[in-house]
Amino acid sequence: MADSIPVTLTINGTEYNIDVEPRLLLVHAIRDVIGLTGTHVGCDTSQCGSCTVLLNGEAVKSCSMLAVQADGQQIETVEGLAAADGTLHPIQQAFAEKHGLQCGFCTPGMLMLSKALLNENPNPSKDEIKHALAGNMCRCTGYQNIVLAIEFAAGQLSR
Amino acid sequence: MTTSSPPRQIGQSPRRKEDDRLLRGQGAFSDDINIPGTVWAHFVRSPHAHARILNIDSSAAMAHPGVLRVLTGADVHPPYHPIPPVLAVRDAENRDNEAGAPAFTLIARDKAKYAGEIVAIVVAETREAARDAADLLMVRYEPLPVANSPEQAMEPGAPRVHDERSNEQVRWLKSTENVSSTFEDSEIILRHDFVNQRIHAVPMEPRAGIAHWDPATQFLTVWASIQGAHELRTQMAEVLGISPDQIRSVAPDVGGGFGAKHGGEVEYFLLAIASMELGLPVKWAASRTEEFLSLSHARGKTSEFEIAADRDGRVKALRLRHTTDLGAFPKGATPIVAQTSAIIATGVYGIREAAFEVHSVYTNHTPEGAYRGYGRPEGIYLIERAMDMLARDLDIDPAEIRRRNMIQPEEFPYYRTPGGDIYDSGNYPEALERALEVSGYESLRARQSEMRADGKYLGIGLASWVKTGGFGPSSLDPSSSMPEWARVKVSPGGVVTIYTGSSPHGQGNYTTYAQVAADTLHVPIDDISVTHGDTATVTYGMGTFASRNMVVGGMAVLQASQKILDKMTRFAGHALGSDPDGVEFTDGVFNANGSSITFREVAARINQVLERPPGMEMGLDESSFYQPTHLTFNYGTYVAVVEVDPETGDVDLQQLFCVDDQGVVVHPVIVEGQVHGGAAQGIGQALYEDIVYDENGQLLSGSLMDYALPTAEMMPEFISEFIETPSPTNPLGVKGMGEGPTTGAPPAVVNAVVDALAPFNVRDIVMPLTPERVWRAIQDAQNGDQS
Repeated sequence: MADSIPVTLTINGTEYNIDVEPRLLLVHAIRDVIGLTGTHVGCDTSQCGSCTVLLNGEAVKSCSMLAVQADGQQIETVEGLAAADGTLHPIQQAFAEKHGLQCGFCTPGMLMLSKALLNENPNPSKDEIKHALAGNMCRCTGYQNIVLAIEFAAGQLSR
Repeated sequence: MTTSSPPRQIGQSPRRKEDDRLLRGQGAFSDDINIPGTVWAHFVRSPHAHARILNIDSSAAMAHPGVLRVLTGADVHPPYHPIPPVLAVRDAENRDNEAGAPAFTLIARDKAKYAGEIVAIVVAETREAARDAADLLMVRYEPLPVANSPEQAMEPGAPRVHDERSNEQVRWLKSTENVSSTFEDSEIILRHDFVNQRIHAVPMEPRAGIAHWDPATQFLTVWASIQGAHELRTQMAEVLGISPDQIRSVAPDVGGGFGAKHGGEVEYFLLAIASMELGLPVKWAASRTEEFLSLSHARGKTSEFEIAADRDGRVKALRLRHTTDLGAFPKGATPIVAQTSAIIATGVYGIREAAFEVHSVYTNHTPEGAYRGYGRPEGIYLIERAMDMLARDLDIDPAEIRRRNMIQPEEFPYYRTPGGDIYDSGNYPEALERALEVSGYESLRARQSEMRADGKYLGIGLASWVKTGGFGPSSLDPSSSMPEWARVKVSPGGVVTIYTGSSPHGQGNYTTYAQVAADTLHVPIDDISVTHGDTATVTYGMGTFASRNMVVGGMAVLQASQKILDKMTRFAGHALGSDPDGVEFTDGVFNANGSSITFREVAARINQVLERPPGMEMGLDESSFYQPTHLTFNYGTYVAVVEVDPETGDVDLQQLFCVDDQGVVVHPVIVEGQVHGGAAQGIGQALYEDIVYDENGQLLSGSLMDYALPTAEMMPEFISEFIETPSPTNPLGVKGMGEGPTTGAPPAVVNAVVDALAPFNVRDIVMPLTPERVWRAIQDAQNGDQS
């Protein structure tokens, strides 16, 4: 075990100063050290996307980078999506409206991916949405309602 | 009493009550639960499919910083027991094999029987320390010859998975009287060997759990990612040699199960043993690779299949020899799954004569277990593929051949199949005709011809299927009662809480059970909450499996709600000066003698001492067991539309039209979601997913990098429609539906691909229909080499 290294992560606007082993994955720093358990771990080969968070606004798989690599960066997780008064983000509302979740395990990753997608492309086609979802797996929904939810959210956000 | 309801909740699609928490990242899945003082377990698994364990040296692992304990097979002995086989498996038929069924070993002691079987547990202060120390454990193995397929494992002299017994656990024969003579007299006999390949359920949440034995109170609490808390408690008591009353078992939020998380898993029992040895809470969260190695696989069956028909395509008889790969141990009732699979092979058709032969065989593979459909998809696959082959041989349209053979509506209720299933109700031709209409079948056929002229290959595939729901006493196990329990209580403020033994993991019971209670009690569903998955708060539970949530669990909720309403009506009658029979319950208000009292007023006043009629106890708190008397059978017809590129073998699955009858539809949006998800899993089997072992029994498809779990771009457009024939077996009229789509999709998709390739004379392709297999099938057929 190597010595711990101090790392500063700003997550959902809150600064966390933590000491981590150099090998600690970002997702474990978020979940186990900081205690934000909304970000999930669904695989060990970076296929499933359950751990997707935003790093400086871009979607990344937090299982695929080290906590030390995120030192000093801005991170957004599912816990930061809703407004301060608790109102669900339009993307969250769209997933509820279009039944875009069943067991809810992949959902945080899907939501964060959706946010990054719609930032980049506010009016994506169905095919563009499906392509963007290539790195996020869901075993419950068959994806159709997830795609519908993202389309619906795009419409709501562009109003 | 008479009631007239407000607009019914059943049949509406209110927003799911469970979603808000999950959307905020506030779900509590097993790995999200942390208890102060928790230590971590890491399981050391055999790298060999079959090997003697010569020696385990744990000294270096024990010396690693933070390590608390290493447990091996030598440490796990009475009072701890292996998981005993279930009764139906102990009694399973195989006259040549008197050794009974083996118990499911918790941890390998003398030999490992599959790659991935646990040989040791390392417990340490942190997850990382446990994993690091596991690498220091020295295990010496002597590899043994491997039983690598059921066919090989049945050969004389094959390596024995369990030294004390032969590999064949079940050999079961069932036949109607005139099968042989019907075959002899038939003009057409169609024979084909089919494969339903081994696949994996892959719930997105890998298993995780915490076991906490408190030495002071001699009490164990277990949180685990399972489909039924009560079943785990029962098994836990047997395995640990303690009383169920010393155990609280909790299934918190569970990220999908699909059958694979039904029943206790050895890891949870070993966590409990480690906790009892250390007196500390012990946690484990599986990696995805561990899931592929050790969470049960399913479906692995090879089948010799033949049907006898006349020249008009009317099928008279069926013969089936089903061989199934159990893996190394019997998980639950898996050894008899092949029987339920075999007997459904007459499908939705009025085939009168049938002979079934079933072999369930141990191999050095990961144990098989339940997976969405529980054997039925494999059986339906055979008949639905064979129907298409027969149609082609006789030059009859696939829709027409199905039409000619279907069980007719007037043969219901309670149609008995040659295999002994009793189909409760349905209108199979209506589902077929509706599917043809919705898909525009005739115009698809026209488009197919046009495209062929342009050198493009459109394929249209039908599957008419039937699937059990509402488990339930079955013909194979009539004595099995399988009840479910619910409790409904109403607070003095009028808030309703439902306690159920069926714990959901994505099915939406928070919402659908609230709909059931709302229709009885006329309460807004926002005033109803659902509690489940905890033996401390739920008295009894069978759990969620076999499409029984609404059929059995929902009925228990209905019965308990009706008991509440009965008591409230008696109270209202007393308060209004009326006999209970004179009380009318309308829109949440009890009326009698020209005056009225609301639901909320009754809820408040029934707790007041002086108000109640003589003999009535305070409070509103009722529970009920519902015991199903029959299985239900949901069914449907699916139409798949594909375009195949013969140059590359690539299959573009464009649309899947799904017409389902699951009886009364409680929440159409949720049910449609189940259709999409179930069909997606069936498509996965048809086109993508495959559990592959090498010649040494090593799992090659052991990660999501190697196992092709479908992603969004691999999915077609789903078009879902319902028809409704209410089930006569239960007052809700529901049939269950979670597993039907997984049953219907594989044959529809494969039939479509084979249909597309008819100009190349391709007759069959073994699933999954990867581009390589499709391309090779075309080449082989062109070379006159029939598959």
